[in-house]
Amino acid sequence: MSAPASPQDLAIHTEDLSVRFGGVVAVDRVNLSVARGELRCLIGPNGAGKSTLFKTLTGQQAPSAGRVRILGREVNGFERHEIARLGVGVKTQVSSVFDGLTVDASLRVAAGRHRARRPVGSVVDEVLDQLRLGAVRRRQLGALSHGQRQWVELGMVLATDPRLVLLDEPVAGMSEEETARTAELILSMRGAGRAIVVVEHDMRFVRRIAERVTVLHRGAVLRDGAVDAVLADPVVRDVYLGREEHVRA
Amino acid sequence: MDYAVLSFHLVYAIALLVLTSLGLAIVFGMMRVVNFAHGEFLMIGGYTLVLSVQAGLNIWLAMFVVAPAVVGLVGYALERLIIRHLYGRMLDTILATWGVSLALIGLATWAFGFQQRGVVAPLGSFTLGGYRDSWYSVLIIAVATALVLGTWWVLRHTRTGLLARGTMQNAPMAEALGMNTSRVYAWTFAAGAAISGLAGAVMAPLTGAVPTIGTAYVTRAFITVITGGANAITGTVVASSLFGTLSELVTRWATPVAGHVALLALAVVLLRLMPSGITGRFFRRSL
Amino acid sequence: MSARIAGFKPLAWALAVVALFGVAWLVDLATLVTLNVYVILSILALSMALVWGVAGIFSFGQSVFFGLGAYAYAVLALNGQGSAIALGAALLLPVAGAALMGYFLFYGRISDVYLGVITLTASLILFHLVNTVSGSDFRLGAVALGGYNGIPGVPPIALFGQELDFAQLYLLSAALLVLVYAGLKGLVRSRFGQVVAAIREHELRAELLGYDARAHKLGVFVIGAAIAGLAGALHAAWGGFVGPDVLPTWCWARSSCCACCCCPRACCPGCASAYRAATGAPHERPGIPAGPGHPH
Repeated sequence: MSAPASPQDLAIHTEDLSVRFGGVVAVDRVNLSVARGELRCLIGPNGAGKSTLFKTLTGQQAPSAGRVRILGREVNGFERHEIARLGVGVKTQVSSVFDGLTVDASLRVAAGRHRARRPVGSVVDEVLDQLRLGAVRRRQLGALSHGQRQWVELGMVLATDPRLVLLDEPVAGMSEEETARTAELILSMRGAGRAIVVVEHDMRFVRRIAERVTVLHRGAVLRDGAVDAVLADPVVRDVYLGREEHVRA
Repeated sequence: MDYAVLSFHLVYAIALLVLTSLGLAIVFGMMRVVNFAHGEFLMIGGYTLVLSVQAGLNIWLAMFVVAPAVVGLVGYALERLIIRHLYGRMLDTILATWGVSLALIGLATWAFGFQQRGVVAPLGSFTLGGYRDSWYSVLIIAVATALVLGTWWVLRHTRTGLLARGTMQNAPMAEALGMNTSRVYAWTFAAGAAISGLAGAVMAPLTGAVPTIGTAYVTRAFITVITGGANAITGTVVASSLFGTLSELVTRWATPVAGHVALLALAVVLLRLMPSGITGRFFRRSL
Repeated sequence: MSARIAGFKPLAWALAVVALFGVAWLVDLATLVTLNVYVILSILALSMALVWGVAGIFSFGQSVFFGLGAYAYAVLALNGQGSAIALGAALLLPVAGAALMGYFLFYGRISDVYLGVITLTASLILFHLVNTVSGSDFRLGAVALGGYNGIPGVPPIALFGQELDFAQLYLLSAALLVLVYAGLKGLVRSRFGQVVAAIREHELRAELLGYDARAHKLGVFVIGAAIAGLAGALHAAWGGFVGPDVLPTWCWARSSCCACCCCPRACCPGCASAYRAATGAPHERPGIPAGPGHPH
């Protein structure tokens, strides 16, 4: 592992982040550090707290304890749009797109928040090229297939030129070819110091795109390291298969 | 002031609110349908009572059997003809039921004219110390309580109630298990209508039957139900208690108009503090 | 839409505008006076099409702003201020009210049905309060508010020193209708309008892109209030009278038929003019988890 960067330089830095719902501890003193330009995957069995942790990063969920720093700023108590304005692009678990608007209109709305204030038309054209969705430009989002809607959502994220990209299960419900295409898209998002964090279940997909992987179990970080090492770890395998002896190493 | 008398009046005010709101609460809480024709269900129940009694029918039969049956039928018809086409479209449902409400008022005016028709409130009065009130007020409290308990019991302890709750929670799942969800919706709406009909009939001896009687109640019922939140029974009871108490106290202290304004102001405050209604925040697991 | 039909659109609109104005010379005065109120309510309906249809805000309070506009116009006109100031106040008072109410609603994250109830109660509270301020103590300047009796003798609008007669008031109303429609069409097509439509479609997604949904909704709410206030002032000038029943929702009920123009279906024959004036707002999508079949 490279030398630790100071919290200011990290894309994400959480300190003892916890989220409690009544008596249930969904996120348990998580210390997560993601460097700028890094591609990190967040994995873990169901109920591990991945989505809750994800929501504290987007501002959808307030932490019960601990601190969250995004791109050098402490964001406790920030509204969702305030975090987005720091340069964060988010793709939610349940696809959130403007069903009643056309692909073109949706991307224009997104491009209106481009970080460098580039003209909307050219940004939209570029994104449509990258997504290879130029043909359905004028179609209503509600009429597109599930995979296409996910890609348009990725396109909206790209159109803002974010410095940190947060993706929650980007290939959920996708076919083999769609998954491969999405992997391509995500890998092409790297560059210019852009950090990407992907929450995923699909292990083949994770192997395809990840450099580093963080495993969550019962709200806490179980393992953290290079993708091959972590996925070969017997404790991680046990946790996924449900054998509980190795919990809380 | 005599606290027993005051408590009695408070309970009465709460009971009135519960009575006029419960039918609407069931329809909104279970189906998320805002039925603006609710006031007219009350009105039809009232007219059913008055006309039945004038035709010679026993008043209790008219009140507890005929009125709910008639209004339940009207509700069933309304659901089948109009509401079922508009599920998920709240704006359209509001406008459509508002239109139905206007139509029903027009129909009643055409059929029965403007003047108020009445029926004498039965049961007479009682004296308690230096205070005199009518047994009918006690009846109203009793009916409201019985309706709340009855509805709760049906939803919680009967198979019908369980099926209804299941359908409302997750209709595709219920259908996959073989339930005829469209029939559940129709019957639930009819049940809400029947309860409103009963409420209207119970109140008719007090208010008389007039085509526009519903409009006096619908906004208060609407506000009570929405402020109560998604859980029909608990929400209505809690919201009615709060509103009834405040409104009655302010009315005693000032004027009925002030009491009404106080109720409205309290609704605004409560919704500001609890943007999803009372049962969006408290008693979330209740019925 | 096929190219052939699309080609007819500008022609159809031109004909509609000509008809709207031409009617003034074709019908008798009594009919014109009735048509005038339809035109005025169409302006109110446009404000609802904006707030309900474009922004997806379930406000039952448009009649509040209609009433505030009517009362502001009446009070200022009767106090001897010219039409310009009276009309200006008819825009400003609803805007101020909407800013206050909107801040309370949108920054309190209140939405859909609950917002409907609060705006409904606000209209009722205002209605009850205005109803009770009868008696000569309740004056604003030289004008008694009149309580449930209302304020009679509201002067007509005067342009360039000349009081408008019924026909001229109709033409002014029609002109304002066209102006408001054109303005709203432009607003809907603008960046702001596109963002508001996006917020209506999926508020979370718009916020995750960095747009402050609360501020945008407040903006639309305020614009809608100004338009409703304008309609209210016109109504007061038209009838020469303003009373508390312009405030509560039964006034809204009349233009609720007009509000059906939020949806592409026309209804209420008397509101044919309102349908003509439809902003073409997209078919409303409540975006709220409502109704059977939606887990809640």
